[in-house]
Amino acid sequence: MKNRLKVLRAERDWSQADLAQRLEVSRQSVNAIETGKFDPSLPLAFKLARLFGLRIEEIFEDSGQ
Amino acid sequence: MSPRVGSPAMYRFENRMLFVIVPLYVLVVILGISLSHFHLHPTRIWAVLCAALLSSPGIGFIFCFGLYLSEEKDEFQRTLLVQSILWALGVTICVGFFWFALGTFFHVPQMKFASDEILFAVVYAVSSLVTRWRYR
Repeated sequence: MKNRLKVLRAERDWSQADLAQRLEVSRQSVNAIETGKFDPSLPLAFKLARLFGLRIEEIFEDSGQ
Repeated sequence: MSPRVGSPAMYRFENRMLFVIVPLYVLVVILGISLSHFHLHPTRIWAVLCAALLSSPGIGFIFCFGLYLSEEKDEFQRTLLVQSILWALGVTICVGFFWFALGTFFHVPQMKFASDEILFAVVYAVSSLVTRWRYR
């Protein structure tokens, strides 16, 4: 699943490690989500959305559409 | 902000493996070698106790995995472990099936004590490395 995590992170000048710390996950997890290799669960997606102050669909792109 | 290298659950998992499971493996290998070297054939309750001890590392291994999965909050790390375990279980079961089927047609040596556990551990180690490398 495509997402805008890298852009959103860059806008805030956060490293992957910074974002991982804020989400309470490993940096490897952030990297896997960012590169689209791993789709986060709904709770984690909501956590990301809250962190960036956006809606989930503004971060993740539904590839089925 | 310092990056998180490993989760607390992962540290606990590694400690359990290092200080409980590995010594159990060593004990089992020593017991197995002693039994075969001295041609000992325990009977009744001793046979049951020996069997329980020989299978304890494998059972402990699986127990530690379960405990880790229930403690780990990072869903991605959980996914990595589940993938590695599935590979290890799959290969171990396939080799077991094949060896059993081979025994139907040929006279093949019986699998030695804990050989399935050792195979599981080796495949788990390899698949764990490969899985982490894929998502590095």
